[in-house]
Amino acid sequence: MKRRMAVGTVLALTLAGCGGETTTNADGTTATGGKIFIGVAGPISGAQAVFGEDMIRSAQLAVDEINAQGGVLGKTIEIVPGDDQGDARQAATVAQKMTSTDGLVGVVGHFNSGCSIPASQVYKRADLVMLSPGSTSPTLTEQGFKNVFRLVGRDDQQGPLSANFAIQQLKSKTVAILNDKTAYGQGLAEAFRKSIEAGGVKVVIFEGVNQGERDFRAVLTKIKGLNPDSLFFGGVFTEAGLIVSQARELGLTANFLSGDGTQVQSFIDTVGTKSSKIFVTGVRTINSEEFLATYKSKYKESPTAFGTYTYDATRILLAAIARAGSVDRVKVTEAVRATKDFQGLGGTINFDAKGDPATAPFDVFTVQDKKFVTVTPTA
Amino acid sequence: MDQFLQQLLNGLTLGSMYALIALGYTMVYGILELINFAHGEVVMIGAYVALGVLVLTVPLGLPWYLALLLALVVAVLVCCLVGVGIERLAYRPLLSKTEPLTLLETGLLALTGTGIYWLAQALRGSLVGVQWALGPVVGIGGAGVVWLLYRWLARKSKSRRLPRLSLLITALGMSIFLQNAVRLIAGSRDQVMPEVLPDLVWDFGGVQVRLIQVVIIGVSVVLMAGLTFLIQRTKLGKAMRATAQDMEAAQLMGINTVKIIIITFILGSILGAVAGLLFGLFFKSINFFIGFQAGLKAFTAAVLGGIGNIPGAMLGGLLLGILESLAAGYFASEWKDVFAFVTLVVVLLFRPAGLLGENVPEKV
Repeated sequence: MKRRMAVGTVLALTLAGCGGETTTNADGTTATGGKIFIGVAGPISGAQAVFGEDMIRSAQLAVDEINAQGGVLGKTIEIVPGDDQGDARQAATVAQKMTSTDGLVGVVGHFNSGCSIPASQVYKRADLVMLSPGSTSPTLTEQGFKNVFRLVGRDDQQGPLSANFAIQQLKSKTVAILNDKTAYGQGLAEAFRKSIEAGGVKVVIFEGVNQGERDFRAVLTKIKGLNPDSLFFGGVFTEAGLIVSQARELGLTANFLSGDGTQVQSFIDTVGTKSSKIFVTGVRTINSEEFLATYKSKYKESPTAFGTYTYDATRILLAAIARAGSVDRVKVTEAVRATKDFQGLGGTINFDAKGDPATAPFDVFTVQDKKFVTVTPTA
Repeated sequence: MDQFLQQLLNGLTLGSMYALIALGYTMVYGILELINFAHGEVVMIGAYVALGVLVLTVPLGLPWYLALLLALVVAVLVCCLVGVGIERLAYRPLLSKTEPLTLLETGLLALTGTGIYWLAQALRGSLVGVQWALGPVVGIGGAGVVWLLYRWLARKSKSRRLPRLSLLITALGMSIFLQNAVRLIAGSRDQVMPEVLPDLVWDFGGVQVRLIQVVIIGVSVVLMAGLTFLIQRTKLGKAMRATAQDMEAAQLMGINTVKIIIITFILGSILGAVAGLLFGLFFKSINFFIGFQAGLKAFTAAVLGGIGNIPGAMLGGLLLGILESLAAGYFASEWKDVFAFVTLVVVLLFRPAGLLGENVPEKV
């Protein structure tokens, strides 16, 4: 259904472009008919589609609300979906498409850090603002681009949180670290290594695995031989789920630690019954009953942890367009930067000079009864 | 030491999995000299069908062996339909000549179309009311279009033997077509196989042997032996070898080569269905792309052992699996594919026809 809609939108856009309906505004930008377009880019298809679909749905909820109130600047908002499949090369292509779409004033996305970073460079050249709901790699905002924002926290918060948890709560002495060699996975794994080594814990192995791989038994057998008490994986749920289930099969009973890329139900489903000793750092659960209820009644499923961030990102973007009073890309970017005390689902949102959120806390979760539950910190 | 043995077992299981898929490639190649790229997709479809059956039967509380048997039977049936369908619609017009579809064939096509439509709607939870009625309309309509197309194509089709390259490209096209068809029907997310096999583990001095590993190694050895016997020792096998050697001469000797080719594809599809089911059970998560990924490795294994050569496929698969496991275990897992493919290049340098030699028609 979603895909059909996406095709429809693209078609409509192409037709509008060809039909000569586009009008050039006084400020030099173009607007198509009575519509304002915003891009939503993420892994809509492919192995991580669960995140991309969730982004589209959450953004759509925000857009529907605004449109029901008469839209922005008297125009209705329409989403242009961009499918990067979680792949850096696709992301650059999607970004090109977004920048060359007439009347598109901002992008909510991308999801994977490995996608957001190359895409941000394309958006920068076109002065197009982007708000990522899920990219945690510090590099994204350290590039010094004025058009890049994110709502989620950074891996240099998340890695140390996980490391400190391993040291203080799990009393870890030796750890093995694997990563999927993506900007996100490797970055997070390195952040974790830095903090855990600073805490005096010995890292027995630091190794990369290939994304899309399904058999990790060989490397896990090697790790079992090194006998660490904890195993950290920097990467996403597809590989993480298989790693945990294969590790347990091989009799590797070490604690398993990972980051927000595994904070999704599919991870628990892949792990199956052997779900003890799993500790995932992820974004703090935002209990916005109204959002969850609307989402569930419309899509018959619960959103992922990033649904609320996508929803907020979309609302921040739309509010910025309204404040800018124009669809000029530069003015909209400035308006997003000027966002002050935005009332998000989880509290007030402010951006610092780099475009990072002032507060976006992570928590440690463990798996109980096929669900993520927050580990209550023992003082 | 036990770590080395464990790695060897990991490699042996992985290798058997490759070998099982490689058998399907190598058998069709042995008979038709066609690299049937769509075989990987048959494996993938087998895995999806098995997953579907298991998801439906596990909640019913069926004993695990019955559920597995049912999954296997349904997977075999669907894979055979797909395999024979590919042969009839895509390969046969290039191998011999285009014939109009018979009533039976058109009927099967209509049934398949209806089934696919219902399935696609059911997976989206919208199989209600009018959608039930629309299924047969779509199925019969689709079959009618295909019937017309083949009738038109058969107008003045002569018996011909086209260059093998057109067949190869058709096979590649079929592979991409099937991948995307499954992606459209079942979605592109990873699907997780229910845990059905009992969780049996044997511990031999630190080496963990699991039931699934025993099953995979056992099944691939049995299938390889069975296939070798079938081809070398039975009358059907003799006819298959004759078809491989010289199709026209075989026809003159009274062999129905069209039938032999269909049987070849049925055998290949059965192998694919078994491989698909085991793949799902072993790796737990499947998506529409697994056929291509696993197919690439399996194809490499077949070439390594000598394509067309059945024991060669087994040897090549095992070697590739063990190499990968040892490379990941003693070097670095990110470089394991490099090890595997460097080995392939080296082997081909010294033995261009593969380890056990290519099964060229003259030699059979």
